[in-house]
Amino acid sequence: MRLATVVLQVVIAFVLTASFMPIVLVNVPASREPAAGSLLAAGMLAGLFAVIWALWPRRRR
Amino acid sequence: MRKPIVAAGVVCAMAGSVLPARAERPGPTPVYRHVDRGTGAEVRLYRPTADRAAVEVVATDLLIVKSLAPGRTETRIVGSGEDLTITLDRAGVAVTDSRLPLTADGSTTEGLRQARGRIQSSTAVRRAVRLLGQMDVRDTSPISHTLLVTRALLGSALGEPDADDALRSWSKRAGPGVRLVRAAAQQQPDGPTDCWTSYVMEAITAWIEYEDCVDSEEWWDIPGMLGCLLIYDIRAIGAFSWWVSCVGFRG
Repeated sequence: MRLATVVLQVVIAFVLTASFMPIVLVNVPASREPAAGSLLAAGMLAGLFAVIWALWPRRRR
Repeated sequence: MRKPIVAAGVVCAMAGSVLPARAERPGPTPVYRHVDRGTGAEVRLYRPTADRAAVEVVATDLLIVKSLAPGRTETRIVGSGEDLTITLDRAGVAVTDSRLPLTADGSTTEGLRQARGRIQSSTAVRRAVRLLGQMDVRDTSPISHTLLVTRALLGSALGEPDADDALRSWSKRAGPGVRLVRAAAQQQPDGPTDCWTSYVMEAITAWIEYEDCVDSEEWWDIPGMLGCLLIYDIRAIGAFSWWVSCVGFRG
């Protein structure tokens, strides 16, 4: 996988995380705590990146 | 950076004859008096002068006075042996306790913490929030607005997450031209915790304003709703980017 593809995947994961975090913060009061919220944000970012990376179509050799 | 200590507004209330006469009266005779049915508290509005307008809420052994002056609002709460004044002006937030030699200056982070701590430790403020929450303020008069804003101010200082719910409901009933805008003392972040607190406030505000935006659109106005979504997404991404930058992940 090319570096540009990985960067694109990170950007997509970042945008999705940024878009959904406010909904989580509104509906899950515990996520407003700094430690839990930061962990959740980092986990969501990493998790989304992993899912996007796994589902990304690859060329067959 | 925003500290969740204040929203905006002021209410004056006055503890009737059972209170010491220390409370400064804004004028000789109220031009409006109303006894709240639910609580029995009396709401008084005094004739505004060139530099001051005031509303009082007088209940048994509790007085709330909200004074408005150019560039400055004061919320004074007298009761439970306390006499606390919260002042908001261009310099920030100040909390003065007449019993103690304390004036917490909100222009510094430490001052904000002290101010909030003093408010949160006040029995009179808790009673005032409870009283204002029980009052019948369903109409859209300026006095109701003043009472709701004061409750939101005190509730947010106490850390209540739903402090501005009643005010938000009121603003929706008041008509399409009225909307709630959050305001807070501005401070530079001290560390990652402050970064997160600011991000949470911005993110929640973005979502609430998105909901308000969608509510104000007709159901068939798809472009309008997409516009709301676009604005929300830009704000959400901007806020998240700011948080990442604030905690030190600078590219």
